[in-house]
Amino acid sequence: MRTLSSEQKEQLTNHIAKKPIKYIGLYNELYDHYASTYEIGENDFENTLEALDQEFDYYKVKSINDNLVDKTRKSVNQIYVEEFKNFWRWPQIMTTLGILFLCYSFIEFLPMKIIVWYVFMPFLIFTSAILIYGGILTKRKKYGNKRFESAHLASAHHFLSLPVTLFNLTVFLPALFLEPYKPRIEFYENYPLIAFILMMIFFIAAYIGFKVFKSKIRVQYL
Amino acid sequence: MKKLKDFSIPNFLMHKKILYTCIMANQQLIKGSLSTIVLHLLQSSGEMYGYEITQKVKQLTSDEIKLTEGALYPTLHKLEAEGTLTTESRKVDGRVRKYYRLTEDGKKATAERMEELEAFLLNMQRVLGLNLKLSS
Repeated sequence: MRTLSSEQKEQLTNHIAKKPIKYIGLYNELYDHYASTYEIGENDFENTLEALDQEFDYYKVKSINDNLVDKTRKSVNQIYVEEFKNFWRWPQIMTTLGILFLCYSFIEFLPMKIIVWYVFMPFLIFTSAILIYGGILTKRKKYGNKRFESAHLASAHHFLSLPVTLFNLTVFLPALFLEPYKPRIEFYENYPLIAFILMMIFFIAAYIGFKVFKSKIRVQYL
Repeated sequence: MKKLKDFSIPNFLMHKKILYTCIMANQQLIKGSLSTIVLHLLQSSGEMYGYEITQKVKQLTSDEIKLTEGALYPTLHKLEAEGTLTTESRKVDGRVRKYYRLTEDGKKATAERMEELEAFLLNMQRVLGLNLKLSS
């Protein structure tokens, strides 16, 4: 059986990278398909590429790429929904209620400024750091001057941004109800229950988002 | 009487058209049964990668059926997203190869599809009077 020389490998890498592929999984599959066809077949390298390009033309590859992300996104969304349903079990419910009871005690006995700076901000920094790390992980592999991303991680990544979005909502929500130039903290001092509910949603979204993303980290990479 | 101009299709073109229709019909049938073919192959082989599946079909049908790779990969991705197949990537000769395998749900789905297909073919045999021999 023939094997690809290093020049042919480089040529094939650049050849596949030129196709409208965005995801590493598809890049790897096409690379392996082209390489296997050459190694097992009888045609020379250039003819093999030419023959396969007739099947994998621009529109076909684009359609496979779009189809892949569509299907992956649907399956990841389904996993998220399943995780959300599974969350409502006694151990998780009791743990969440315990954390929330502590949070509510903080809200009751500590000034809101301390809660924001010592409870909410560390959580936000941690969530944002995970979000950035997830973004770096998603776009990791580079072949032929092109950076490919993981379809699974890209689909799961927006669940990491959900807690940060919720935090933004928490910060900007009081602006809708307060008179201009009044400190936003006043809103939460007057309505601690809203802060409590937002914190609860923030914790649940962060927990499930991390869990789904973590399960997808090892899917695409070796 | 004035002779009418002959607008009938010449024989050599007619043959091409029939051949084209046959190939298209064959392709339509394959497209409709592609996921069943993939599931059955994975059931008998355990795990396979994309190129291997195309070669196996070629080998089993003595080159009469050629799976179009452009249709194979979307089918594999669809089955994976549905949870019928699971994948494992391994390094082979310095490149990443993605192996597909049936999940437990996939094994049940394959058995159901094979039963459905067999029942369908038996009915077609009765309706069209075909002389097929199906082994169970």
